[in-house]
Amino acid sequence: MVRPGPGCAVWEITLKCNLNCMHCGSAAGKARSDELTTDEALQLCDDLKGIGCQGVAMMGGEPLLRKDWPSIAERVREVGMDLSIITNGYKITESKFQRILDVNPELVTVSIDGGHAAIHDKIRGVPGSFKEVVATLRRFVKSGLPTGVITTVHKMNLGELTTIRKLLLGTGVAWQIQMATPYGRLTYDHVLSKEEYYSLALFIAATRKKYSKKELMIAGAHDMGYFSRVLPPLQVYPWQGCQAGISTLGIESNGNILGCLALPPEYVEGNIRERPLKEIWNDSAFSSYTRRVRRTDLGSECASCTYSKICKGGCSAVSHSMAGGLHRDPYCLRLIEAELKKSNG
Amino acid sequence: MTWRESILYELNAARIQRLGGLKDWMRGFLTTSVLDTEKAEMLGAQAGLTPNEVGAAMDARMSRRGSILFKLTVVVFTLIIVGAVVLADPLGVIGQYPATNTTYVPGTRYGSICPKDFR
Repeated sequence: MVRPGPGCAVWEITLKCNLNCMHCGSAAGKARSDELTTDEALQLCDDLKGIGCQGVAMMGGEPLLRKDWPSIAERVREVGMDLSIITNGYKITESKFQRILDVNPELVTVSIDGGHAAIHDKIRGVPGSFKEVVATLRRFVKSGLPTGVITTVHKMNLGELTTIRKLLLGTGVAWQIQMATPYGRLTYDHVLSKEEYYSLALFIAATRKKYSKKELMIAGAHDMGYFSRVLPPLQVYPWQGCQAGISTLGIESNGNILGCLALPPEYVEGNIRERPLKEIWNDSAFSSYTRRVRRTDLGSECASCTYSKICKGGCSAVSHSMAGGLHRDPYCLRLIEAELKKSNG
Repeated sequence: MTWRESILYELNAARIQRLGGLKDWMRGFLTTSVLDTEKAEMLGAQAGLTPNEVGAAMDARMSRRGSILFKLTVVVFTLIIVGAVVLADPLGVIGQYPATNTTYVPGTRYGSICPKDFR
């Protein structure tokens, strides 16, 4: 059976990174020893187009550290797919900046995890990184490229959000807020508690209410939900269940394929060196955990929820890491509200 | 799913969100209070929010104009839902587990969020 292609392939083009972020889900630093060659990467662009993929989000590690990134980016554009580049914004030389402008991506995104240098630099593991990322952000905005900012929230930077908000107000960037999950370098003791997660949701809702889209565009990522009884939707579009292997696809720099790059290694379901991408994608067994969800797959609380058919148990990555299985994401606003109500008597 | 839940889900749709404030007072009408003010303010303070900001996030007052609009919207949604059920039933769609396959592109939900997503 031939499936519709993914809307977006999130592609780690290299694991090499010049920062050392405490929350990095892939523990990036050194390049993998077996990363795809330039020829393989270019062929993969063609193959992605071949399965009907509409766009590529190029990330890492730090994608701009891979020497042939412009060739890959250009091929993505040549074959007619959209391109977004997710960079840490650190050490973006003038020539790199020019190459980004030449490639003209649909979106360039930088990561800001603190409103002050002390916090951002501590989280990112490199002194001076805050100053650089802010300068990079300003250059992108000034250039007119559609620009986004990602903030990954954990215990260390929950209190930084209002300061980051001040920094972004009026810049015209889209601000994506996501919860840090305990993969890679992030340890469980830094993960937000459920109440802190609710605080984060309140922050997103309050900011959307307080500021117009002209002043600040803010949204929660896929792990900020779901179906609150109190708060308006935090995501840009309504949640429709985990899209791993449905409308999104994860690619590791060595050609490993998984439904979503946020998932841990046990979810790798093939490698393009061993099997064509088309075969992996169209395999009925691929990503069966999201493509064929039954009520019996859901955790008990999710199964009894009125939104179970739509939600299917929240984010797979959060569910796996925080509940030890899929389709039972405990970081659910609706669930937390029920727990809060219960604890209030 | 109850009719209230159905309407709430529809309210989440991007097109409806463009109606601006409309959704907020509807939400307030359709939902019951599950968080007391003190607790909500405490939670908001953890993220640096003032009590006013927390209040705004959860604000659910409804004006007279809003009430009329709400009733009209309920009628429209009811007609849509009834229409959809009437059309879908003979096709055997009802009762199947939905296999959502929405196509996203970079800058729409996955990968990262883009300014164009807010337009």
